Amino acid sequence: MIGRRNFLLGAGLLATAAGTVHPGATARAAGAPGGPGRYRPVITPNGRSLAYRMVDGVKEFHLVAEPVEREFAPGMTVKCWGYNGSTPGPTIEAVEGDRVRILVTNRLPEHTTVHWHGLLLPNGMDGVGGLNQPHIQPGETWAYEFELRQHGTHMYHPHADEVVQLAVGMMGLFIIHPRKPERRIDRDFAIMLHEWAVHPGTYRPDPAVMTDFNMFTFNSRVFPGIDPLLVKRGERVRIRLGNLSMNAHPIHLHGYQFHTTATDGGPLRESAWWPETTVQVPVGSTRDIEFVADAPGDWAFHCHKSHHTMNAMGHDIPNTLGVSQRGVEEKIREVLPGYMGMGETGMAEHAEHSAAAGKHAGHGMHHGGLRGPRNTLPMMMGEGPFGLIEMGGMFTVVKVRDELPADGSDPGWYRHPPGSIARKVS
Amino acid sequence: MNPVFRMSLAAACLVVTGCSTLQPGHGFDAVREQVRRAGDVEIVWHAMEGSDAGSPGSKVDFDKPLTRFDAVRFGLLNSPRMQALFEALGIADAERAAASVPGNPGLSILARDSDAPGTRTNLEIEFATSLLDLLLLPSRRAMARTDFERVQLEVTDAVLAYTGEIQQAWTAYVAAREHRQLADASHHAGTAARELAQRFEAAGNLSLLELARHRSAEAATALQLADTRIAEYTARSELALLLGLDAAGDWQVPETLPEQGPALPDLAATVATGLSRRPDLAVHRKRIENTAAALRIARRYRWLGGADFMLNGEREPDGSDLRGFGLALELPVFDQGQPEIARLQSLQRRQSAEAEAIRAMARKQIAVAWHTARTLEDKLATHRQLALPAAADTVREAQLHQNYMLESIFHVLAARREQYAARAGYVDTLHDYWVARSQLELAIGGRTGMTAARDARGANGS
Repeated sequence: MIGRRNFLLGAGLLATAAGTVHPGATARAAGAPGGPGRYRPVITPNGRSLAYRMVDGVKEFHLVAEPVEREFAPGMTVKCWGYNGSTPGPTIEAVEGDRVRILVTNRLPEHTTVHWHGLLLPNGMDGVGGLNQPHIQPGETWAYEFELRQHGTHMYHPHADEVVQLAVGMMGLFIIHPRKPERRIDRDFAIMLHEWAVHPGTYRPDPAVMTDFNMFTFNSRVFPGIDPLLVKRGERVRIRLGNLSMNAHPIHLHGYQFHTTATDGGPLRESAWWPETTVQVPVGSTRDIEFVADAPGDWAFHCHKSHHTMNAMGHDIPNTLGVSQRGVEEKIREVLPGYMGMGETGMAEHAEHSAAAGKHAGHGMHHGGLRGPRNTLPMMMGEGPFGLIEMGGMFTVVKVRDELPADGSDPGWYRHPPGSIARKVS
Repeated sequence: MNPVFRMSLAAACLVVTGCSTLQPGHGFDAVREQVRRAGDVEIVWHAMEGSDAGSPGSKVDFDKPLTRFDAVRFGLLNSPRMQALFEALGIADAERAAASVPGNPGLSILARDSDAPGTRTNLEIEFATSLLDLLLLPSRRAMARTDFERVQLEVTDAVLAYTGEIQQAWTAYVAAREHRQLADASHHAGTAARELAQRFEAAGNLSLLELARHRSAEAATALQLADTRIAEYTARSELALLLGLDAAGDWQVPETLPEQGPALPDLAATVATGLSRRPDLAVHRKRIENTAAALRIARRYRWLGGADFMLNGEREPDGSDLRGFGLALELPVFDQGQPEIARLQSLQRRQSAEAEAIRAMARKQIAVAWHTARTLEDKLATHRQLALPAAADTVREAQLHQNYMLESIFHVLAARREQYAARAGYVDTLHDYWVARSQLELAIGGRTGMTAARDARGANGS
C-alpha cells in the first residue's frame, strides 16, 4: 500500500525525515513542477526520499551507514546493512546544477565508502576506497561534495568490501531532476532491483552466494509485501529502475506499451526512445520507462524470469510433476504425521496450501495447515479478487483508476465493467 | 537284673541322651528372612509349605505388563530351579542332624556251645561305644550348626544371583522388544521411501540408479528387522525359562525400559555396605570359623587318637557270670595329631588369604559396577538432553522445510530413520544401565543394600 509519506511527497509537500537540522538552516520545500529547480518528488514504494537542509547554498544530505532490519514481507525479517534505517537507503533527490554535500557516517562494524554510480564528479569524490579516498572507518563521518552536472536516474552504493556490503543491501537511488523539466511527469516511481541469498530458516543474507539467490526484491520487499503503484487514469507515468544485483532483470509491464526513455548514461532523445513491453535492466544500470496510463485496471508489473517471481524454493528436491502419491502418501503419514504429497499436477497446490498465509503463529508462516521453517515465506503467495495469484519476489501491481482516494490509500481491486472479464464457456 | 536287660537299658540311655532332630522346615525360615532383608522379595518352598503357599501380595497380575520387580517375584515363586535349590537345605539339615549325634554304639552277642557234658551255652554280650565321639559331640554339633548356616547363606546367595538373572533377562527382553518395534518403524519408512521412489521413476522423474539406492536402503531395514525379531524371541524365551512360563503364553512386558533408577549412593558407602552384606563373604567366614574350631579340637585332643568304652557280660558254660567294663585307647606313639594340625593350619592360612582375595574381588566388583552405572547415568543424560531432542528437531525442521518444497521428502524420511536409530542407541544405553544396576545390587548383597548405603552415608553426616 502506498504510504502516506510518499503520497504527501508526491503532492509537493516535504515530509519530515531523519536528519539533523542546524539552527538557522531551512529545509527547502519541493513545490509543484514547472519552476526552475522545482520538481515533483519521486515515489519510492516501501521507501522514502532523504531530507536535506540548505547550508550556505549547498544541499546537505546525511547518510548513516548502519545495520538495519528489513521486513521483506510479513513473516520474514532480514538482518541487512543499509542507510538511515532502511534498505535500500533513502532516495536522494536533487536538481541538476545543485551543489550537494553528502555526509556519510559509518556505524557499520567495518569500513565503508560511498560511490555515486553514474555521476560526473571530481575523481576524489568517486568513492572507491583505496583508489579515490581512504576508507571511512567505523564511527567516522566524511563529506562528499560536488556539483551536479547532469540529470537522470543514478544510484549510490559502497565501494568497500563490495561483495558483502552489496549482498546485504547497501544501495540507494540518486535522482537528479532537470533544472527545467523536459515534459510533465505525473507519477514518478523509483524502484531498486536486488537479489539475496537468505537460506530458509535464517535471518541474514549469505554474501558467499554468487549465483544461487533465492529472494528477489523491489526496494528490498517481495510480493505480497510490495506496495502497488497507484496511478490515476490519463497520467503520464515514469518508472525508474536501478539494478545493483548480480543478474539482469527483464521487467515486464502488462497492458501497456511503454518507451525506454533514459539509461544511467542520461536521457535518450525522443527519437531514440524504443517501445517495449519488457525492459531489460542490466547489472549496474538504470532504465527509465514512461507511458500514459490510459487503460484502467490492475496491471501486473514484474520480472519475467519466472523464478524471480517466486520466494525461496528448493532446487535439490525431487521433481514431483506427474508423480502420483496416492496410497503411498498415507504410508508416509504413518511415519510423518501431517505429510501432504504435493506437486503431481504442478506447484499450484503449494499456493493453495498457503491460502492462510499471512497468519503468524510464532514460529513460521501457516501454509493452510502446513507450517514452514521460521522466518521463511511460502514460495507462492498472494490472493486476488479471483483467487490465488501464486506469485512472490519481484511482482507488484500498477493500479490505474479514474479516481484515487485522497488519502493515498489503496483503492482495492479493480471493478471490471460487465462483459470485460474472460468467461468460462465449457 | 538280667545282664541283657541292664545293657539294653544303658544303651537306651545313651540313645536318648545323644538324639538330635531335624529342624522344622529345614531352616528355610532363616533363609526366607535373609532373602527378604537383602532383596525385599519373598520365597516359598512348595515341598514344605504347599503349592499354593505365598502371601496374596506376592501374586502377579498377568493382565498388566510384567514389571522388573514382578518378574523377580514371580520367578522366585514359580521357578523349578528355586525348588531344586531349596532341597540343598534338606540335605544339609540331614547332614547337620547326622553330625549332631554320637556314633551308634555297638552290641555284639556271642553264643558258643561246648561239647563238654553238662555245660550251658557260653553267652557273651558286649556293648561298646566311642568315648572320643562323646567327648567331641558338643564341638561337632557346633561345627555342624556353623556348616548348616553356611549352606543357608549359600542358598540365599544363589537366590539373589537368580534375582539378578531374572532382572537382566527381563531388561534384555524389554530392550529387544523395543528394538524390534523401532526396526519395524524404520522398515516401514524405508518401504514408503522405496514405493515413493518407484512412483517417481514410473513418472520418468527418477533414475534407475537412484531407485536402486532406495531399494538397497529398504533391504537394509528389512534385514535389520529380521535380526531384531530373532533377538526378541530369544530374549523372551530366556525370560520365560527363568520364570517358569510358556514363551508362547499370553503375558507381556512394558513397552519401554524405565527411564532411570534413584541416584546411586556414593562409592565409599556402597563398598562398605557391600562388604558387610555380601552372602559369599559370610559363607567364607563360616568356613574359616569351622576351620578354627577344627584346629582347636585337633590341638586339644591331639594325644587322644581314639577311646572306646565297653560293657561286657559273659555267662560261662558252667553257668557263672562274668561282668565288667573295658576301655580301649589308641596310643599316640607315631601320630600325635601333628599332620592333622599342620593340615588345618595350612587350611586356615589358605582360607585367610582367600578371604582377602574374595574381599578384594568384591571391592572390585562393587566399584566396577558402581562406576559403570554412574557413567551410564551421564550417558543417559546425554541421550535425553542432546541426542534425542536433536534428532527430533531435525525431523521436525526437515518436515517444515519439506512443507515449503525446500527439502526432499526422501531426506525427511531418512531423518526419521536416523531418529529411530537415535532412540535405539538410547535403548541400548538404558539396557546397559539397568544391567549395571542389577550387577551392582548383586555386588552389594541385594537391592536393599542401596538404601542401606544411603542411610549409612546419612548417618555419617554426609
